Amino acid sequence: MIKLQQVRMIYAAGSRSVTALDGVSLEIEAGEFVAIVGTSGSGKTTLLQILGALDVPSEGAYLLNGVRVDGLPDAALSALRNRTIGFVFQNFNLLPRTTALENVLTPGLYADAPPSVADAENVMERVGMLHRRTHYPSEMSGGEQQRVAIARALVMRPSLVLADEPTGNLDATTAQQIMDLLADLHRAGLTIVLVTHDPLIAARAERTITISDGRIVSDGLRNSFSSAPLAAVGKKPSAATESAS
Amino acid sequence: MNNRSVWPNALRLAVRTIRRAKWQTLAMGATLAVGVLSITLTVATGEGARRGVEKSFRSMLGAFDVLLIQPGGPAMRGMARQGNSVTTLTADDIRALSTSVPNIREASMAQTEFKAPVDAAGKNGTTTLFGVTPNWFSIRGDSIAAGAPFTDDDSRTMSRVAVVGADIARTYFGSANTVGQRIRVSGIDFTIVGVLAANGAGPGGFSLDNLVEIPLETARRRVFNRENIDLATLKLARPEAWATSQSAVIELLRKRHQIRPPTLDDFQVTSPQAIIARVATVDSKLRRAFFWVGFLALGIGGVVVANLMYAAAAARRSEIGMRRAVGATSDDILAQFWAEAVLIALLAAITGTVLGVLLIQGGASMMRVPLALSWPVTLGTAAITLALGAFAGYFPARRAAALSPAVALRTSA
Repeated sequence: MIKLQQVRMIYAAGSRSVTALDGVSLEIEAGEFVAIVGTSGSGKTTLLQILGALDVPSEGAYLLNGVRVDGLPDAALSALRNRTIGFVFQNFNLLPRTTALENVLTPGLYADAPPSVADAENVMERVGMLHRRTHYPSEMSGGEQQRVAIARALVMRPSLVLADEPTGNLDATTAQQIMDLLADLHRAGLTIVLVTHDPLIAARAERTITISDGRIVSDGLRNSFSSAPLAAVGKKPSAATESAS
Repeated sequence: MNNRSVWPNALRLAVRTIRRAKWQTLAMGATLAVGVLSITLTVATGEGARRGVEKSFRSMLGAFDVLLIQPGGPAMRGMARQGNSVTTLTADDIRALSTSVPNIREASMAQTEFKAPVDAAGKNGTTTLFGVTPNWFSIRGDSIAAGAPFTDDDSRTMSRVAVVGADIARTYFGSANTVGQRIRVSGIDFTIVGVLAANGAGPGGFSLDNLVEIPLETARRRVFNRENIDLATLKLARPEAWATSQSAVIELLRKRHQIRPPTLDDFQVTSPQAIIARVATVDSKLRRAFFWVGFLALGIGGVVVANLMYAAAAARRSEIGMRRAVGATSDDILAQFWAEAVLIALLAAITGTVLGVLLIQGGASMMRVPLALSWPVTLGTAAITLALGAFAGYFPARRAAALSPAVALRTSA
């Protein structure tokens, strides 16, 4: 489903350039549940944004469902995000002064075939938030807001859900409940890629990709988790990374 | 790829945002609305003042298609003099003008007495007494509210008849029928034959309705016992040629009075057209100033809208990022923010215009402020405001649209 080939991402930071991703190659099959872990500044969020067609790599190729994504014009990228990808953010990113239902319906504004209110209510039921549909974000707990945000991510029936630290603003119990929900969605057939710095959250995924200084330093299934060098997280950059930046 | 138009969403979202963020909307729109209001009001006061000035001059001078001749030189210049000490203008002068200056169709003459004592219906006071030729009423365009003006026969026979102003009728006779009543002016009894329609206030604010008019011959022989004329009104056949006629009148009067420059004239020839033209010049300068003041307010309003839209675009980065993530194109974002600015400008234009119109209509009737609505200016101002909102909103909207979704999401977290 997802194929990254030698992706590099270089930002201009003043007069210097910062290499956020340094030759990342990666394949994710449909139906996988993948956690990308790494410390802050390791490049994991940049990687997720490229996967989500929010950003375009400086070098390398990104194929989603066999289609080359880098190089597409803005309208095509927007349509791709609208139809194929659902996003879940750390800070929920719900519109204030807007009801839960209206928030869930937001992607429909930008769709050729917008979901009906009934469709939106179905996904809200699926995340257990139907009873909150007329409530405003300020009237809901963090966990509830994140459930509404997940409903928004699902309303266009995407095949890929990308979550950036989805539990980062939640307490441990609520975080596990949100992870239960994501695991349910995964079991129902969705491809899920989440970014986290929390090993306990990452452990809920089937596969963990560890990234450090813009490079993948380990990639393993949960069963072989112990063999993946978790210790590499936070290590000093390798000589290869340093020379590349 | 989709082909949907970005505007229906943009308008719907803009309406939603404006409804939910009333204070921001107020902050953005208030300056613009004040600008519209101030232009509407300043132009209205300017227009009202112009009409007011014109009306008061018209009431005082009577007709506009005339030349006015008064005795006395430029050193004694003044709209209404409180005495009749100058005796240089005669009825013969006026008759000579009527026959020699071709553009003069008709001439009327008046002798006047300010502060003439009045005694009627058991009350007394003072008034301005006019002895006038009977054509005075038709040349000035005075309308008679009751009764009829006196006639040439009345003048020839020195009849003791009078036409009185509205103030006299009200003050001395109240609601009673004034026509047929007796009035004593300067010690002589007159029978009232007509009442003038009210003229209101003259340019200085004094009443134009406290007057008594009697036939010129009656005044000359029975009241004043003098020959000289205090005011002549020459009706012009072609009013647009007033300047040429004015020169001809001055020339002939100088010849008759044997005046050669540098000796100063002992008479004055005035054209209402010239007075109005002068008033209009001053007025158009005022209006231009008013207009620029309002325009400045609008300009400031535009800057306010632009600034607040920039601030809003920055404050709403997470919204922009989220919308981009769920499928909004950069055109969607541009349209959404632009529509907000234009809609706020539209609301401001409507509010300012409606408030202005209400204030003008309320002010013109309730207070006695002369206000007159100028629809072209009002609608033009509203249109300019809308254009200004579109212009001021475009650049912040473009910046919001140019924001990369990745950057918007990264910096908003």
